[in-house]
Amino acid sequence: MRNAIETCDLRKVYRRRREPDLLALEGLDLQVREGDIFGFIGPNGAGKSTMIKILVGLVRSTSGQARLFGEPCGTPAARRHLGYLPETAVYHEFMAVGELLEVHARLAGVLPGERKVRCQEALEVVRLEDRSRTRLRELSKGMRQRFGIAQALIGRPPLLILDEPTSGLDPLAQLDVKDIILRLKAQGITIFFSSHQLTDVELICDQIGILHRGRMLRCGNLRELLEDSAGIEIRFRGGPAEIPGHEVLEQESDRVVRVSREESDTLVDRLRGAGAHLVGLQVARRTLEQAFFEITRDAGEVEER
Amino acid sequence: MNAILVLARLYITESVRRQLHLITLFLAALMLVLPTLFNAFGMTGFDRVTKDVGLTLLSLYAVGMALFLGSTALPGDLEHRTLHPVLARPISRMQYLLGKFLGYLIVMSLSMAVLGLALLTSLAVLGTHADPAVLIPVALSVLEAGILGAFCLFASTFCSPALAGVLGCFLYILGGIPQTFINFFLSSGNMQVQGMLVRALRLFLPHFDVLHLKDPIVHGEIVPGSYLLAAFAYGLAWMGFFLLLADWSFERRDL
Repeated sequence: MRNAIETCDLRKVYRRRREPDLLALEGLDLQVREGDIFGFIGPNGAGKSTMIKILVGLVRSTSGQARLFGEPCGTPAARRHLGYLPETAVYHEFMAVGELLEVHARLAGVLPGERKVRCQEALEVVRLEDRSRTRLRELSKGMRQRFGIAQALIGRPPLLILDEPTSGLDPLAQLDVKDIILRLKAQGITIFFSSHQLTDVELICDQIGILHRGRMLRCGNLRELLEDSAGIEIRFRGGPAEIPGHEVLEQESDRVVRVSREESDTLVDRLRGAGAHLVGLQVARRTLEQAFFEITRDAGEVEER
Repeated sequence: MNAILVLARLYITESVRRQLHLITLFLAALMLVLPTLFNAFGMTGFDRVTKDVGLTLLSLYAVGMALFLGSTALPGDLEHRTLHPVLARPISRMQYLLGKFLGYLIVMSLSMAVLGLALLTSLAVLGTHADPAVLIPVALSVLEAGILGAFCLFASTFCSPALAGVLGCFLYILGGIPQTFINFFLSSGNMQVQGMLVRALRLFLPHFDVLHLKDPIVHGEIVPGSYLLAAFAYGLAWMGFFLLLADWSFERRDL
């Protein structure tokens, strides 16, 4: 399977006149496989939007390489592969939904005979087919965001780049957008999106990247990240109520202790020796929120030192 | 080419629906037609005055709109971020700028055509021969607006719309000083430094005065066709130069 997105040692420095230069990205290496949903998370100012703009070609990297399906980012050839939903997107508000969609179809190079079908198809995906004649300024924020996805889809791109697609939406509109993303994934479209909604990222993504102050702290399979370093959870009945160096939690009639993978064998033997009845052993899972806080906190502490 | 035409059409649709342009056009046309109401006293030479004032008004309209539209077209899209989804399409930034500029040029040409017709109508109502030669300065005003618009577009790629407008204004004033005026400076003893400064600056600026043919036309002089052709080639060359500069600057800009 080829990579939809590939960056190598990507670096971006914003030159500023009266202030020191701002390092937005530092040595970013990233591979996103075709067909995956990649969630890009990080605190505000981490460099997510800069990274996305480099991929789309709106911002030029200071050094390093970025490619979409093997084509250098920023070239029309690379942009032929992508559909883009900007953060806080504003469209030509005086135009009707169908009218502006047709403009985007023309710019995407859709052939004249196919334009109507493509527009209809894109509007159906985002469930705006009955709003074709409505002016964009008359749409709600959620509808506008759905329109944004429709315009991104108009060229039938194999890659969608969505910059905070659920930002500022009410819960129902967020659900709509998530639903659309999952349906698009089912069609085999690669989706790269940034978000602050960690629960959404956890539910939707296959791969994630955590960015902090321009550096990629973690990148890879979501399941592995959530299990990584969280250790093993041992559930038992009876036996000792306290174990030196470990916190024992009472859960219903069981006791639960969380230990590292290395310690787990020894502790199980000790518990059995102390008369405990082993109920279960499982890999402990953190939520993405917990993992995110731990990873960014650790990175912050290291930098402060 | 297709993308440029699509973007030009988008610009025109935007101009029409925003209505600001239509309102200014209507007011300018009204001002051109108004003299027909004031000739109740049957003043001799009133048609010449109408022609003179009308062509001046047309030139001012063209310059004003060029400064305004040229300096706000790109910053408006940058501010509202409407250009982000557009530039994510497989088009180059040069195509984007050319599309915008072509749309602007079409809007200006149509507006000036309407105003030119209003002036001709006004002259016809005043009972004079509606000489189509008055359309020559009108066409040259469009050319002038094209150069000025291209310059403001270039300036707006690196500075605010207000500053781009001010720079455009300076360009127009410096480039519009007639050669005879500079010669006067150079010949008078205490103005030589200023005169030489303006002359040096003008080496690098378009000479708008070569496009100012209002006076000869008002006084019925015949302008040779070769002069007009040269003036058009001159105007188009400057437009192309400023558009190349705009592309060079815009390509380097992070959006």
